[in-house]
Amino acid sequence: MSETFAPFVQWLEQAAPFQGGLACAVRSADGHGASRSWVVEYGEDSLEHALRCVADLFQVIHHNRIAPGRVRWVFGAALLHCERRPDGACLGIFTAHPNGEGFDAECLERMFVEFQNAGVPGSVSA
Amino acid sequence: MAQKKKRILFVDDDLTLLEILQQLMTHYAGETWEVITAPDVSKALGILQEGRIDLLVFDIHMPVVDGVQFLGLLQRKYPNLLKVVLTGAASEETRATCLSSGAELYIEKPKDNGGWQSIHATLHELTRFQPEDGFRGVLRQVGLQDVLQMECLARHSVVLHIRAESVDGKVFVKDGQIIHAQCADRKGEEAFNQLLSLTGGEFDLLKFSQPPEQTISGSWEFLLMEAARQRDEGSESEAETPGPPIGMQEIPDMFPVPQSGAPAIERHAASPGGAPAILPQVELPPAMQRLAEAGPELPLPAEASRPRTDELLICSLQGEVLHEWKCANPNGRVGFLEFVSQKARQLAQGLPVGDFDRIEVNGVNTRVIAQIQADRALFVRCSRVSIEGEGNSFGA
Repeated sequence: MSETFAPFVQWLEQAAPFQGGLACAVRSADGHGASRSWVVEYGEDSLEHALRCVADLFQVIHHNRIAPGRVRWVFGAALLHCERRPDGACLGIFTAHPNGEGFDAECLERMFVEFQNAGVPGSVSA
Repeated sequence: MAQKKKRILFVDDDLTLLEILQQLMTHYAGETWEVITAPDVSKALGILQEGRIDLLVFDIHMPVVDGVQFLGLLQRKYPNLLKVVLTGAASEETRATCLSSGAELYIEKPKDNGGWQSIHATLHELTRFQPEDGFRGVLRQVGLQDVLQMECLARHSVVLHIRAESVDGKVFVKDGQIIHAQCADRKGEEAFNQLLSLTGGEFDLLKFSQPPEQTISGSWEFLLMEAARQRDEGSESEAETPGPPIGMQEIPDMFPVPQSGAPAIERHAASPGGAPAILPQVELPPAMQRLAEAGPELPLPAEASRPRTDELLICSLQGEVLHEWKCANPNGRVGFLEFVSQKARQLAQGLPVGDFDRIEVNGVNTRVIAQIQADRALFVRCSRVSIEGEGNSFGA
């Protein structure tokens, strides 16, 4: 594991489950991947494969000169919320669909803040 | 039960490299791969036409037809084929172009055997996520309208046999003209419209046989347009009935407001200078029509700003632009929608996420929505502008 990826793995291991949270995965710019699932249906292989698609999308968004930002994939039974850091690392968090049981939006926000700060010197979660 | 060998096709104009690839990949894959090689695009297309290929790996720099052109061709003809681009000189620009054009991976050629082993492992992983044999992901894109259009344009003589839950009917096409339709006790245009209003089922193209009678004499173009109109009218009346929203019936709010204490969201009619009305010859599903007509008068979530539609494009799943407004690069947006559709399909493999509806890209002052419907796709870009004057806008 690369030194730059270790903080993500550490952070992921500590990530607490939250209401409506199904799984999350991280992918670094150099292709390292790690995942954490809170429900059995979200397997490691599928999650890492999903994050590769997410990383591709961020690149194509940039290529198409679309303003960067958080991406939300809306499926019939779940949502996938994604962000990319300036260093190219991507986070994807699967949550339940709002039409179903929904999810805790505050916890989701907190996870994204922690992800953006993971491994950054001087940050709370570094 | 023995697993079927994956058929992997490598295309490169470097014959020495092809020979090395044949040996190395066969060595690494053992009995799991059948490695096939082709020295140019025309040979590769011939192999693709001959039989099933699970994965196509090709060099981006080839004479006559380069890799990006080849990719575009493949994406149109074999949208479900896994495609990987191999290059001797990688660049971020080409990588993004290839990914936008349907490539799964963009890989730099390694300098040693260890690198080829990594590439084998990567390609092996990729083939594991390939859809099983069958029509997964294909039926979504092929409607009865498309099939009939193709048969009529090609001036074929066939019988289209359609079966759904409680419906069994036939459409007779002779020399590219629709001459008869039957469905239970209905005949002619009535039967034709009923069959084309079906949203799912199975069909077969049978060898032409003479119908018992000729009940249709109008042009096939008019018939298909009329059937589309009736189908959309039907879906509109369905949308008016209470019940949970499905697919495009659920229009995403461009700038949703927080739930607590937020003012009710209102949609206003299009105003002068806003998004123009949809072109009269284009029949849109009611939900898309409402979104298109909403134009810049979208909900006002913040006191000091209002959202503004900057760009809109609607296309068929075959990539035909049905409507666009202020879209500087329609082909680019169609390519983006195709990319989103492809990635969503791949992303969902092995995960219980349900059917894909859309992606939303939420920037600081912008929002982009790319929505994939059963028969159309939508791209909308909005920005938030200050009420006093023009605000931020981003994107080509």
